[in-house]
Amino acid sequence: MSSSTGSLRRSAGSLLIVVVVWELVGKLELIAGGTFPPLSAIFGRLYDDRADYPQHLAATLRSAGIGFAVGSVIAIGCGILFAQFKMLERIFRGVSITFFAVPLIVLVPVLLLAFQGTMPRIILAIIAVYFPVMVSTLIGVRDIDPRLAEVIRVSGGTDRDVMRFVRLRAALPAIFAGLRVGGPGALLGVMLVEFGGGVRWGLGTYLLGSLGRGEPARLWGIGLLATMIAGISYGVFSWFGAYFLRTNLSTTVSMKASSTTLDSDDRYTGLQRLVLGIASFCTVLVLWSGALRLMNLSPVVARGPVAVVRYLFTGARGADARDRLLSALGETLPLAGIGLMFGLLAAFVLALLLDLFPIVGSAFFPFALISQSMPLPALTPLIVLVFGRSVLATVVVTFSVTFFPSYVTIAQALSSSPQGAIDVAESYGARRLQVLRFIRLPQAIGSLLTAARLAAPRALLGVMIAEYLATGNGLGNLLNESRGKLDYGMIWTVGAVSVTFAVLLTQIISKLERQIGRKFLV
Amino acid sequence: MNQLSRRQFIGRSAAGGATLLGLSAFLNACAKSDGKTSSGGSASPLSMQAAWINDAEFMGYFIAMTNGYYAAEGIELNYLSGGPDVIPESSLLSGIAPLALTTPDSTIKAIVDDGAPFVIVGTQYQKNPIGIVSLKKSNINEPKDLIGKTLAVPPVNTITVEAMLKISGVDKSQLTIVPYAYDPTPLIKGEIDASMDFTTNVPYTISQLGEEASSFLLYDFGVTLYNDTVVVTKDALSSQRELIVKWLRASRKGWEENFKDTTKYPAMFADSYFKGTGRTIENEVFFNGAQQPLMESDGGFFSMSDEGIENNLRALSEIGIKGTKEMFDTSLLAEI
Amino acid sequence: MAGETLLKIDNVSRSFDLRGTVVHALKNVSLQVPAGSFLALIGPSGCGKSTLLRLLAGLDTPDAGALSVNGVDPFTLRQQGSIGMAFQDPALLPWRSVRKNIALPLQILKRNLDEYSARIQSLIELVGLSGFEDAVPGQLSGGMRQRVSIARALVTEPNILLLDEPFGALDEILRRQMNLELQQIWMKRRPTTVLVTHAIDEAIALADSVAVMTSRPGRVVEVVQIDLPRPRTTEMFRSTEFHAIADHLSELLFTHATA
Repeated sequence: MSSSTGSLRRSAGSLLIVVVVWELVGKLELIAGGTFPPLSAIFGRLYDDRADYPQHLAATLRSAGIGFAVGSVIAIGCGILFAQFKMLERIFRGVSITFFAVPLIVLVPVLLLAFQGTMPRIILAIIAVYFPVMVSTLIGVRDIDPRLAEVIRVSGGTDRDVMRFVRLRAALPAIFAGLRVGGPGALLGVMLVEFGGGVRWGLGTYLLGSLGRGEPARLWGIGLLATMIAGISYGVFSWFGAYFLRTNLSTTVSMKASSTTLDSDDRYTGLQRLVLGIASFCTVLVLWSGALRLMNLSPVVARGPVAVVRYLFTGARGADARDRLLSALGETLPLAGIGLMFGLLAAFVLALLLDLFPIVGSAFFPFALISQSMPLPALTPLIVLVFGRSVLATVVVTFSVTFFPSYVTIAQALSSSPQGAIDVAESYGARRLQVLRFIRLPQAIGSLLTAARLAAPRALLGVMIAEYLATGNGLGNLLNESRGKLDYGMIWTVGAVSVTFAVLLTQIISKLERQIGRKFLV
Repeated sequence: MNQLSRRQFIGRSAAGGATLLGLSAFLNACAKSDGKTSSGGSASPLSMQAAWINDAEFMGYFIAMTNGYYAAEGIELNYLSGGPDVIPESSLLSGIAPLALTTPDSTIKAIVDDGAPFVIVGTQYQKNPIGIVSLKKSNINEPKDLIGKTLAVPPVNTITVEAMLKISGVDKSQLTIVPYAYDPTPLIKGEIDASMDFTTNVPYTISQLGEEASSFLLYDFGVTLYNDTVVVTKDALSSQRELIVKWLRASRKGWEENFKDTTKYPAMFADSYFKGTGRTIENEVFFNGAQQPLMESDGGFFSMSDEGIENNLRALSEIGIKGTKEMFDTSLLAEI
Repeated sequence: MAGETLLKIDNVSRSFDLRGTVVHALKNVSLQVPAGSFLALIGPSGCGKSTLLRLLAGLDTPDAGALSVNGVDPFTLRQQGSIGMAFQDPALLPWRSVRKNIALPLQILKRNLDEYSARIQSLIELVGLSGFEDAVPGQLSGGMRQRVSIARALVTEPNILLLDEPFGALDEILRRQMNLELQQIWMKRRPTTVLVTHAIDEAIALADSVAVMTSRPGRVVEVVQIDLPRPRTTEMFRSTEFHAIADHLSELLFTHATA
């Protein structure tokens, strides 16, 4: 933070390098026989199409804005409630993790079955916003400086006064950190529905209509515009977050860096934990079937948990369905694992490298941002032309969706090494490499599991997207084919199974994380 | 009507005071504000679910809306565009629309497998425009030419491609099938050899990109299916039969008007139905001209001859979908 | 006993479970001081003096025994707004100005702040922060922040003032200065005060009586009366009486620490 103008200059410099390299690569048609357009062509195209954009942009921003606002209110409300009533959090944990882990492409067709108009867009945006904002609110409200709470209590204050005078205000930086992630999420969610949902106006609609033209410059223009909006919302909320963080710091009161863990289960006995786990699982099932009942959908289209089990095990085509599901899982899961591993490894190596050579970091960052908010349908032709439709393409897509969040987590852990420890090491004449080895590396290894936990559901999503757009294998393809065949049982089964695996993976990693964390943090 | 309508449902729940449902009512209000508001009068509202985004495939309906043909029949049409994630049959089942344009293969499969309460009352295309599109230089002129090649297929058309291969005696393992993502770039760049798409559409784009395209219809190789079949729910057929007949009459008029001059209307819709779709008007003109021979028939637009129905059932039975004549109802067309 | 006003700690015990081992922070502690007097608790780290203070503040409950002031238990006192407390860390709300930090207890008790603006202003002057009313804690030095927290503890005019090493983090010179200021403030209203400290001279300078505590388990070994006249001055720190008491206290502390 101390050299913010320096880092700003570095970022500007690296952005310039990116622009020049991009332009050259595009002009010389170095990638995929010219399918990767130069920046000048993209902006030229944007200018030519300027009459088309306002209405699309307005529609997308409107749905994303409503979804973001409603989602934030719900998520902040839940975060506050969960911080107050721990049992409530524990019971709804399954629901929260499901919203975090559910591959959004699974939800689109389902939402379109149940709702009309802008509702599916708004709901998907809400779901995209919910988890990051809820968790950061929960942590921000819960993890306050305990002395501040005692000041309130000793002056005759109740828990409500602590909430009112301390918690809500102290949580602002964390809440804004959550909103910062939620904004781009809402935008992508809305575009996903626009793309698939027969929506008249929206950037996603425009993307779909433009796909058939075989003009990459248009597709990249739409993508860059989306990236810009995501970037702006990220920046605005970062600024607010930084502002409140500054005003929350006095020199003696230390605010904890926001963590990403939900409450640990340590204070429960094994039996209580089991009961809570089952309760939280049942809450998901109850909400699932309850929502279907409330929406009053045809039972042919809308399948609840019981119907899915029946479809798989007692239905006439159950054996066939099980075979198809298992072979699809056999294709998808290993690739998700490999992609996740590659993404983590690359993120780890890069984070370490950047710690040694910060200049590389700022040069790399713009690329990372673009890769994150480019809609995948626009990138697919490029990926397919460069990497083919083999396992490699799948791994590349998976890598691209897991790498960035992992990198951010690991880099954060590296940079938050206690300065005191570094000072001690340096006072003994430690070189940069030694500081890295003795202090930062152990810390980064700890964060690797946190990164894995956050990236695991995305890895599954990445593989499914690649399967559905490029390779035609596995769960992603099974989902897509089932839609063509009106195989509603399979649509819901794939949804349920992919969520189940994403949640399982998350939970296993989080258990490992807690055990290892216990070892390191005495 | 033993089911609550969604609107009624939301009204009741909100009255019940549950916060969550109050919220859903609020969202619904937000969502509704960009839909069309009812203009009142004595017109009966009717929703139709189209199969894709706005393009020349749906010219007739746009004309009928613009020229007031529906209004003249007393229909207040709520036209719903489709898209890759919209399953038209699902809109029927979930009560979003009582009338949809579908592919006959998926519709009949749903009736056979799940007992879906559907009736086919007409067809937009006498011959399915879906075909195999390739670059001329690849020399792919019939299904057998696909052996050893890579074919991109939209995953929702799996049934159709299986039918083609079965009827042509080609085994699925003899070619590579990959997902088609509606972008012709991989075809132009030679990454795939052929794609399955509307022959009325993609060849134009390919020619714009400086390549010569060739294509053949699946219909001409034994997959004798209709497309954009007009499907209604049994419920709607008994309660809104009159309205459906009126819809068929107005829509037919729209298509008749369209084919008087296939270049006239696409340009007229440049600032309405085709505004900002990302496609060009020239593309729509090409599309409109190319689809004319696939739609015209002696019985007039939408008509279904006994022979045509037989052809559909035969093609479907090749891939194990056992439809019956009773799934088609030609009596509404007879009343036009 | 009835009608007699006093702070009474009656046979109080409190233990904690730390990773499986039970630590007796306080065992059978009894103490009584008259209302309006100044008690200092002194002892090595871990002798339970802070625990005792938290029990008096109603922030914690004893495993056995009872605490009361004038027959009223700490929880009730707390809810009445009769307690003022300052901690080793000033624990100011970093986003609030000096004035608003001081006003916080009044807000919690739902008092009309307009009626108290004069009192708040006079407290700001009393702790020597005139001109800093609108500064936020981040703009103040450590000593200034500590003075804000003392002003905050006094704003409700509490009957009981609890001070948990409020000057522990300050340098020696500043600490002496603050001791004398605190004495001034205290003498004006004479709330019953309990000060936790590990500085012998601070205890002697401020208290009417000093309870010496030892650890494992935490208990009171002796209560020493300090009969120095008030106001106490810097000269007194050099007097023979002062040194005699200091010697006695440190003897008590070290004998029991090595026992």
